[in-house]
Amino acid sequence: MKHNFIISPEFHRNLWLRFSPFSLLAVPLLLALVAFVCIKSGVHTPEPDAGYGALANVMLGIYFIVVLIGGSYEAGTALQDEVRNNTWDFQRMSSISAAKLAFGKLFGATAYHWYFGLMALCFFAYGYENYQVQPYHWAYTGGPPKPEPVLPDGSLPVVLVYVIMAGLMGQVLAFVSGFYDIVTLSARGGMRGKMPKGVNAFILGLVCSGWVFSGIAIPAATHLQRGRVRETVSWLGETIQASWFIPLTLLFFFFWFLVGAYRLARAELMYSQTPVAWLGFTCSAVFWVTGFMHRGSELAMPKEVGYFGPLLMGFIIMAMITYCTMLNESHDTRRYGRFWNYLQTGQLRRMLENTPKWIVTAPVTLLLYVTFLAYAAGLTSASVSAEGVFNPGTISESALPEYACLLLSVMLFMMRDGLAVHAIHLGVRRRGAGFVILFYYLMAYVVLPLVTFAGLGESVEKMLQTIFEHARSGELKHMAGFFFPLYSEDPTVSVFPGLLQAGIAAGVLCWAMGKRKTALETPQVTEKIG
Amino acid sequence: MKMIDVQNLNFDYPDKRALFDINFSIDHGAVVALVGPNGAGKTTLLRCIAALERVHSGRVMIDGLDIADHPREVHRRTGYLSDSFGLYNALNLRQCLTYMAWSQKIPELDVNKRVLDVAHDVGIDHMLDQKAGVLSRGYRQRLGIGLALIHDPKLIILDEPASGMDPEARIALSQMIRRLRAAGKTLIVSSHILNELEDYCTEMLVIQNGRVAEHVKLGDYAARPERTLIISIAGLAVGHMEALSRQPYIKIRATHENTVTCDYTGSVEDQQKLLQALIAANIPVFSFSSEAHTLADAYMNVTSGKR
Repeated sequence: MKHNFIISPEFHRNLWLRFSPFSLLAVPLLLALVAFVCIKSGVHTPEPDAGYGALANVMLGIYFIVVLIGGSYEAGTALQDEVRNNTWDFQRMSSISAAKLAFGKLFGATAYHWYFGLMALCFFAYGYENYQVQPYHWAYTGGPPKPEPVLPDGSLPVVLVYVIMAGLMGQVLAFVSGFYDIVTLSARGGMRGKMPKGVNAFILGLVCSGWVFSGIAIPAATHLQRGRVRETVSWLGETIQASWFIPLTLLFFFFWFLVGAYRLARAELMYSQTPVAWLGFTCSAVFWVTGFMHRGSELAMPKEVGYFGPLLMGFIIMAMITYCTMLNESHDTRRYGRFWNYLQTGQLRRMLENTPKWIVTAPVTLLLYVTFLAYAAGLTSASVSAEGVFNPGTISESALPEYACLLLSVMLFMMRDGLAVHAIHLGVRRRGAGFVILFYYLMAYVVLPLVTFAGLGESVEKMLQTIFEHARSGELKHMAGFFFPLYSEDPTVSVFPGLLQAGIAAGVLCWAMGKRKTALETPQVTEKIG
Repeated sequence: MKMIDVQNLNFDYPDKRALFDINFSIDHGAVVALVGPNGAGKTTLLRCIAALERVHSGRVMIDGLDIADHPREVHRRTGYLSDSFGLYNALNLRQCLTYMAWSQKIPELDVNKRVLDVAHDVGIDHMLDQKAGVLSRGYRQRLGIGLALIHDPKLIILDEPASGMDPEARIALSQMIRRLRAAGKTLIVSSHILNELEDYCTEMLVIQNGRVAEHVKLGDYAARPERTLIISIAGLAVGHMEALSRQPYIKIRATHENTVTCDYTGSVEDQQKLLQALIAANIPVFSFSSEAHTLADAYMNVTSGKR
């Protein structure tokens, strides 16, 4: 058997496991039976062609169940099964490449679902091509009764491509998510940790494929049917044909999901790799999202003013990614240990290989912050001609200091939380850490602010007003600044409290690191055999 | 160049350090018994050597390759059987071995021959068309070893390979390990069955509390003067024990009914003098034998703090 990139040993093994003569024959027979029943169901109705409509709908439903639901489940749990059955080490020790392993496993685990689903799509296509609007629909026009095709000529391939992309996107995302669970499980303490069941990965994949299916594929079909397809998309201030933009967007994310699967497989095969792909994904994804924020042309403003929104949005998204990644990676104390060890010994390449991902996106967040401020500072109201619309120029003149302080304060609070959560993971036993983190967030953002304001005889309403409305002038702004990032140009209100707390959290983290170092270096007495 | 060279290896689990400053090296062709109490860090050490774990600090070199820089090269040279390995139960044995041969990039023309050779070596060639799911524990273990050996690795790591095997299969395993040793392979075998390890091992590495407690070549150990004396005395009494303990080179290890087991560091001539002295003291000795120290003795000496 000659193996190649697609037909890899892993793919072949999956074919052995999932296909049998019976399962191969059963699918076309079952679908043919369903098709026969559907077509016959329309024979005695006022619309004889309705049977073809039923066939198309039923087959699309079968495709949804088999490929989107079943396929996402198989993809999400493919690796969990290997780890649960203790076969994963054999695969890791083999000479198979990361690409063949990842893609062989992904497409192998879902091969039977695709066999089933693609066959259902053939019946779907047959039903849709033969289903035509009946004469009585057109009777009111007064013209001669004439059947009309539901879809314009050549539109079926577009719908089929979107439907297939929906299945692929969901399966790849579920696979990547399941793979990531395994990689992080290994980071939490080898394969002895609590084994994830892959349900989260399945749900994530299903949501993704369901969104593409119901948000893109089905609307494409119905819009085409009604002649109301959205023809253009505004992106980066340009008008782009939707028929290009949507498939390219799907391919863009599909590409990154595949890269994710490949990189995770490399990680499990113990290859050394830096977080450069992660940086590439986050930057390009932020670029894609912010492309929709270029509204200069729509607001009749000079084009350069349109960068205000994208820069601000880019900063917000990148800060959120950094924050979520920082919290997510906080449990991986072993990676930090290696990172710190290689940093101390000056082994920069290995340090990079063990760099937590948030450390890579944090400088980009800072860069976006500085770029945004520099850009906004250069805007003047004179550059804006429209009235009554969102006016970045005016904002930059009057409120830039507030913006600068608020965004800096947000970053400091994020840093405080991140440092605190890291300290919790270092200082608390693994099983209790989740509860302590929840307790921390409740205390920091709910209980302490409420108790403090209640102690001062103030109401919750007053607290919320201070945070959202009176950060510039409210009496309690100095107090509120210790609990939430505030929109105020006074650094003692908006920056200093966050800075102070981040410093305290850093001190606690250093203490927890020292405590952990001592605990690690104390050997535990092992059991003796007789 | 050593087959395995471990320098200052430290390995952490999230809650504890499992290996502390491990240092040792192993020559090509050695068969090493890795022993130690439960939880001592044996499996973790084996996984580090097999390049399946990322170490906290230190260096592991396999056949001159650093596992951190060349993990896949190390994988190609290593066959590893985990203590809790699994099989694809729905595949038959031929498919299991063929899949692994493909995964190990064995040339297509050689796959069938290699599958048959390995199946013969581990004694499963008569059942290649059976599903892995119906195998007994012993045959599962044989298939697992076959999967680890399919690519003819230079270094073979077996974690509890005899677990669940019947006596006949254990003898077959022992013979197979001897054949691999004769073929110049380097093996590390972790097991709690010390007398079996003794049959085929050339070195013993004792791990205790995550540290190397002892690393000895068994040939050197056997050449040491330490012996085990087993002395049987009719009507063994406290007075006999006191007289025995006063003799030079002797240390009483255990007593059972009329038999006293001692560690003895004297020469053959000293043994002769000891026997004469016991008889002269009217101690009713009815049996007196001397044995070289076994792997179990060596292990017990190390784990009980003696050398």
